[in-house]
Amino acid sequence: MSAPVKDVTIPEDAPSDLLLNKHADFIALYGAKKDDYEYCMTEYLRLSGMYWGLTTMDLLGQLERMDRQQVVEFVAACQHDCGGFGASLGHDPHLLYALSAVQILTLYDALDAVNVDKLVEFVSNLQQPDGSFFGDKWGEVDTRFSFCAVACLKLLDKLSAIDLEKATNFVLSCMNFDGGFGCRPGSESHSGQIYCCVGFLAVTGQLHHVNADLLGWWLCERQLPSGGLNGRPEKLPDVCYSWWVLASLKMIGRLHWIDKDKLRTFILACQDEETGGFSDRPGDMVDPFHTLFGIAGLSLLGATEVKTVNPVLCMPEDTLRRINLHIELLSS
Amino acid sequence: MAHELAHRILSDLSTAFQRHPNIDEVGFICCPTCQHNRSPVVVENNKLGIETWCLELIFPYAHDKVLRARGRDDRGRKIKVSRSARSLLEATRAVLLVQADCLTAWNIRKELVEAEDLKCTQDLKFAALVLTKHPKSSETFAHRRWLLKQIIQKTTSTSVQPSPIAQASHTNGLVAGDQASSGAAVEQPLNTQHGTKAGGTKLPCDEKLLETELTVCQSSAERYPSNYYAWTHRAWVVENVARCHYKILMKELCDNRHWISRHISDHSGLQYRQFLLTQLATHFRLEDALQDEFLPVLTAEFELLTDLITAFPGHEALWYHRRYVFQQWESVLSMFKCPKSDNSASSKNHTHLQQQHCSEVPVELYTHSASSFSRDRDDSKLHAAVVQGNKKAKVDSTYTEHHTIQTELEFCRNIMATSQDGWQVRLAGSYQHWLQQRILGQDNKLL
Repeated sequence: MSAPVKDVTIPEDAPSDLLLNKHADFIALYGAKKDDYEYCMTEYLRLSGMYWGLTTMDLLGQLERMDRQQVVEFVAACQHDCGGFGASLGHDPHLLYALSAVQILTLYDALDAVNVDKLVEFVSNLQQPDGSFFGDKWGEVDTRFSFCAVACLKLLDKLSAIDLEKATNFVLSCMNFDGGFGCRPGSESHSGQIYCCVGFLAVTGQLHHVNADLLGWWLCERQLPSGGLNGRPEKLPDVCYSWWVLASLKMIGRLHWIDKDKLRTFILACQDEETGGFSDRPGDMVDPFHTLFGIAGLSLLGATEVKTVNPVLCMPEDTLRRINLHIELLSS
Repeated sequence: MAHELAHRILSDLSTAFQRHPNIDEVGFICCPTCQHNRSPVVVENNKLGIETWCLELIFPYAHDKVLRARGRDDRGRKIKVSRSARSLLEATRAVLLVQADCLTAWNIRKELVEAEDLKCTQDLKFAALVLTKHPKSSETFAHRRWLLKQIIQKTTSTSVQPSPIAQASHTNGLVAGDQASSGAAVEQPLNTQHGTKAGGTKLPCDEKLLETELTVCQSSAERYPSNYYAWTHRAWVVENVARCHYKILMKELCDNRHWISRHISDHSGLQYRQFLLTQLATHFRLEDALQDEFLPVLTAEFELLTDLITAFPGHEALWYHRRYVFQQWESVLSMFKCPKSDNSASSKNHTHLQQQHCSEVPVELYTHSASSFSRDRDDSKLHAAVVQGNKKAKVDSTYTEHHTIQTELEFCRNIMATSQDGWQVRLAGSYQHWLQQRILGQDNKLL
């Protein structure tokens, strides 16, 4: 008895060229529809949604189509007195949205629109004695929050505001025997968490802690016959996991270990030719989240039609150059 | 008009919960338009159904109420906050049944708990209901952990000092959020239980609470395969509610064996098993029983895996679990492959072992948090159940030869030579590569 491999088949008529302008139209239109139910349903992650959309537009070289002033004012209005940012107006502050806010404001070179000192205070106050980070005052701990904290502070050039040694020890305590990382010590390795932990180590200049061959091998095993990558064993391939695995491989200098052509084919097949945008798998519904990670993935794979993306912060390299931010990666 | 209707449906929802306090499942009834002149809220046999046409009415309405509790109107303008517990319970309930990851709605419920307008147990029940519709909602599991911490803190606020073990290993297991309650989740001091083979069998927690929590995890794991949030939550519960009590670890290992045998591709379920085994390794190490009792457990694990891998070819999750078991096996053996002086299986000298091998002892053996150690005669039955018919429970000098890199490589070669399944052959090849990399790694260390 044998089971079919959990994978997808790419339809023969699936798109194989990058529909650059369609994607820009998709994002521009998505931001304009503010009254529908879908929009209200995604209100709880609005700032992250805006970061996905705006970064996509920037990578496509069309950021100027978006209303800078409106965006900056909105982001600023999401800042709370404690310095943190809520996902939207009236939503509670959380580290996840602090990072999205900082990323958006960095794209627009508009950090002066918010209270940066208060924000730094918000982030550093969430660090715990064992080095981990709460996501907000209610006390949930996750390595994703460790990444959000250092990524945020790095963009603000304020890494010294936290205890880096302890923060690192906590992240390292989440490393597993397979070389991967989970959300807490002893938790299952997961590509999204690996991206965050490897990203944490990259931001803080400590990638030497990673066993690059062991982890690289695990990450490469995420590639399925269709060319797409999954996030964990026996899961379906997905454009967003393709990004997290790919970006992690890039950070540890092992990007050349996967079949790039097949992955490119898979990502391109996830485009919707009519509406623009990318979905998780060929033929599914598109959304801004998968659209960013589709475009960013293609950029890492060397697409020349889009700007070069930074694998650690998932932002355009030219933006980071402008603020003199450089992150050392492992060489291949 | 739309507001009035939304208001009425929200009232229907509240009435449904009042009339049926034991609603245990929620689902949406696909019904794009309102077709009858009756409420879209239906309850039958404690199952709550909501017709989909009304979601786009009630969600924005309830969401707006949540924002108002945070001082914003539907256009984001600042307004004066007015709050009524009842209305907030209604609004957050409606929001969360539809969008379970809305953390602000969960936070409002936390505030209601703090204000004693809502009981922790009530909200655990509601969160369990939400998980029947949204089984992988990370915010819902996070909210459960917050509620559980409240309960644990309350039941132990009058009690006991933290266990020394819990303190010593605190760098890892407990999430930092527990610092305040570190080691306090016990009804009696753990240090009086530590190491005793008899007595002290009482579980360090409310058994009913634990059982409910494990049931919620199980049901969420059944509803969504490889459910990361359900399984990491389960591990959190075993660490923080059950304090990694030996009996619970063994019982979980036993129950999980049946579960994974029916869910052979569930990597999260198998990884939870690894969490249990790692905790047991810590336990047996402190009990000085790594070889006598832990190696038989690992041997049983190899046998189980060989059976499953052969019976169900092509499952990566099983092969990955074998990697864990093998590295754990090697790690344990490496602790005993000591310089001549100490080759005995029953060394009493932990400190010596730790010092000799700290560089090569697997991180896993030392990482996770404290176990509460109490064992009695029944425990040997539990152990036997886990080891299941493995007759080689006593260690002899050749025991360590049962699983070596060579025997594992042989296992791969056999599969690759005989399997008809291409994917199975590929997975065997991957395992073989992983083993070879281990050999290379070890050689490099020696150099």
